[in-house]
Amino acid sequence: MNIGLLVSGLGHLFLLLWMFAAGFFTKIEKTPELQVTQVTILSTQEFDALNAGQPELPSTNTPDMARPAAELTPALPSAPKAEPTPVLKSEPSPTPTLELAPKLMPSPKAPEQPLLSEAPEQTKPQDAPRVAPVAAPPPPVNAAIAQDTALAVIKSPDPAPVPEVMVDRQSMAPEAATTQIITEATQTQNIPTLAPQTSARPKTRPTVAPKPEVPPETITDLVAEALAEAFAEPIPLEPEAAPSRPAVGSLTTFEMDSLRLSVQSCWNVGSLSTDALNVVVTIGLSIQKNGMPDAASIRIVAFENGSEVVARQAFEAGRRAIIRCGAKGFKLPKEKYDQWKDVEMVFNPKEMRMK
Amino acid sequence: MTLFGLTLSHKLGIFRLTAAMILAFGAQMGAVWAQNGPLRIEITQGVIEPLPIAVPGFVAENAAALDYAAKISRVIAEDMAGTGLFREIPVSAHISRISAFNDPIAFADWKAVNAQALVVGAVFVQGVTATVKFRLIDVFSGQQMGEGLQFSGPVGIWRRTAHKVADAAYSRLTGESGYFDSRVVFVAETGAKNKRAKRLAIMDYDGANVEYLTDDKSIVLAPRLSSEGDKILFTSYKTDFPKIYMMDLARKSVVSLADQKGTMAFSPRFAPDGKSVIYSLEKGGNTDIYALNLASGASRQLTNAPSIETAPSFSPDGSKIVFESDRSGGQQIYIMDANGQNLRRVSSGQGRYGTPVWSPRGDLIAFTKQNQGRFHIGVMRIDGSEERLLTASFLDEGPTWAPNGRVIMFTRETSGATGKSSLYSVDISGRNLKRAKTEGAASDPAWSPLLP
Repeated sequence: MNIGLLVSGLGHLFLLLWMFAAGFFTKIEKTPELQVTQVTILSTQEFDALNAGQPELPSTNTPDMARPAAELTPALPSAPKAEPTPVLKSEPSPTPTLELAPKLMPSPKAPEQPLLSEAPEQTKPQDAPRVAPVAAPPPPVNAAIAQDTALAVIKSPDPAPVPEVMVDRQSMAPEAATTQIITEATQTQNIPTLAPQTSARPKTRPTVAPKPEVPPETITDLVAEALAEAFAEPIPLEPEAAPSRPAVGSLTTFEMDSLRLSVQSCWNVGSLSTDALNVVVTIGLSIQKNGMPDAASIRIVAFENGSEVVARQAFEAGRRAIIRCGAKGFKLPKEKYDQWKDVEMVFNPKEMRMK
Repeated sequence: MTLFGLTLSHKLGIFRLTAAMILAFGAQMGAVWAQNGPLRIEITQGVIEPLPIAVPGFVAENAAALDYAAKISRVIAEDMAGTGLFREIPVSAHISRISAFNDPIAFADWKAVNAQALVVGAVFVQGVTATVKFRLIDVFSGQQMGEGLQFSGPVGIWRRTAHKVADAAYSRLTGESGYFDSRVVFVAETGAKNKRAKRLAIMDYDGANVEYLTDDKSIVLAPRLSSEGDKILFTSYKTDFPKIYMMDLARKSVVSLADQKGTMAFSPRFAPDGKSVIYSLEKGGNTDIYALNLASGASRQLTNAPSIETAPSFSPDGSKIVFESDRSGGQQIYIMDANGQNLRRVSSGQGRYGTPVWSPRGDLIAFTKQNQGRFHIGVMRIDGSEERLLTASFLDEGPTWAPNGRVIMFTRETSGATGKSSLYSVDISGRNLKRAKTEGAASDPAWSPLLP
C-alpha cells in the first residue's frame, strides 16, 4: 500500500475526528441573553386587589339583612309609648257582596271561521300598506270601511279586497321579544358597584393542556362500534312502502329546517303558564299545495307532561304559530308535496322554560 | 412508521370511521326515503314576548252603563298588560269597532293590527247592580276561547267586577289562575328616615282603594294576612316590647295574641287553616319559633337552639315550615315538619338567606339574599335546587306571593339619608319588574288570596 496514501488517509481521518470532537459540525447554541426589565413589586394584598378587579365595598354601606330583627332589638325605651289600641271602627262594615260566581252566558253563535285563503296578504301586519308613519286616530271614514270589510270577510266566501288602512306599526311591534330571560340580577351581576381604582393586569396566557394521545386501540374500538351500529339494521336498497315516492321526492334536511325555522319564529311562549311550559305537544296538520296550512286540520295528536287543560294552552300557542307564520304559505318544494302535505310538529319548550 | 404523526393503526381507524359515517348517512337517507307517515319535525326554540291583545271599549247596553263600560274595559286592559305577559294594542290602532256584543268579529281587521287575542264585552246597569259579560276570541284561529262569562255585582265595586273579568280572561289565556281581584296589606310610611311614622294600610293589588287601618302613633311591622283574607297579624311597638296583634278586617278590631310578658314576639304568620299562628319569640336573648293555637291559647316551642330562628312560613298544605336560622354561622333557610321534627337545611349558596316564603303552589320558596353587598329577591325549589335571583339592588327584602304563585311583591329601599321604601313586583321569570302604585313610601307588603 502506498505509504503516502495511508498517511494522508490517517491524517484526514484524524482531522475529521478532531473536527467532530471539537463540535465543528454542530450548531453552536448561543446562550440567550437575559432581558432585564423593571418591575414593580407587589404585595400579596395588592395583587389580590388587582385580580379582584374592583375594590371591596365599604362594609358600612351594607345594611343588616335581618332588618325586622334588627329593628326589634334596639333599646326598648326608644320605642313609642303604649297607645290605646287603634280601633278605627267599632261597627263591622260588611264587605259588599259581589255575585261573582261566573255565569255561563248563552254562547253566541260561533262566528264563521274565515279560511286562511280569505286573508291573503293582510294577515301579517308588516304587509299592510302604509301611507303615514304615525297612526292617526281612525277617522269615521276609515271606521266605516273597516266595518264593511268585516262584513265582507265574514259573509263572502271569496276573498274581499283589503282596504288600505293606516296601521300603527309601532303598536304592533313586539316590545320585548327575546329568546331568553335576563333578570335584573343577571343584568347587574357583572357590573361593579364602584369604579375600580386600578386596572387589572393582563392575564397570563393560559397553559394548553397536552392533548392526551388516544391509543389506537380506542379508535379501532370506536370504528368497530360505529360499523356495528351502521350494519345493525339492514339497509333496504329500495323504499319498501313508498313506491310512489321517487328518490327525488324526499325532503332534504335544509328544507325541513326551513319549515321548522319558519314556525318557531312565530312560536310565542311568553304568555304560557309555567305548567304549560312543561307540556310537549304534538300538533298534526295538513298543508295545502300553496304551502298554507289548513286551519281546520290543526289538531292535538299527543301531549305529555301535563294535564289536558294546560295542554290546551300549549296547543293554542302552537296553533297560533302555525297559522301566523303559514299565512303566506310555507316555502316548500312543490314537487315534493307528497312528503309535506301531512305534517306533525312537536312543540317541545324544554329550552324555553324558566331556569 | 409514522406520517404526519399518524400511525398506521390511526390511519386505518380513520378510514373505517369515514366508511361508517358514509354508511350511517346512507342509512339515514334511506330512512327518510322510506318515510311513510306524516312529516315530523321538532320545534324547541320559540320566542318570549308579550302576547298582543286588544280590549276594545265594552259596549254599554243601556244609558246607565255608559259611565262604566269604558272604565271597566280600561281596568281589564291594564290588568292584562300589567302582567307583562300581554301587550295591549292601543285603542287608537284598532281598525274596527265593536258596536254590539254579538256582532260578528272582523277577523281580518284584528289580524291587520296583529291582535292575537280579543276581549269583547258589554255592560248593563240596572239599579245598583252592574252586569258585565265578555267573551274571548283567538283571532288567528278565528275561534272563541271557552264560553262567554257574565258577572254581576254592586255598581260601587265595579273595579272588582272588572278584576274578576280580567282574572277569567287571564286564566283562559295562560292556563293558570289570575291574581287581579286581590288586595295587599302594607306599611305606609311618612316622614324622614330617622323619624319615620308607620301605619297599616290595605289597597287593591293595583294600588286603588287605599284604606288606612291604624294610626301612626306606634310603629307597626310585617303585616300578614290569613288564608281567608279576613284577618291580619302584625307586630306593633305599642307597648314597651314588640308584640303580635291580630286585626279583624271587617270590624277593624284589634286583639293582642296570648301573654308574652317580658318577651319580644315578632314575625307571625297564619297556618293555612287559620287555626294557629307561628311566630318568633325572644326569651333571655335567644329567639326560637313557637306555634300558638288561637282557640285554646296554648303555645308550643318548635325549635330549640342557641341561634336565632325566625321568619317562619307554612307550606300550603300546612305540613311543613320554612324558616331562617343562623345556626351554621350565617343566615340560611331551613325546613322542618310542622311539629318541629325532621329539620334540614335548604339553601347552600354563597351569602345570607332570609325571609323565606312558601309559594301558594307549593313548588318554590321565595327569599331575600344578601351577597357581596347587594340584596336580591330570588326563588328556589323546596329542595334548594334551581336557585334563581330575580332582582338586585341596594336593599330588596320581604317577598310575598301573589295568589297564583306567579308574581312576587317586595320592598325596595333606596340608599342615602333621603332613601325611602317602595313596593315592587316581579314575575317569577324575572321579567316585568315594576313599582307598585302607592301614595307615599311603603314597605312590608302581604298579598291576600283571591277575594271570594
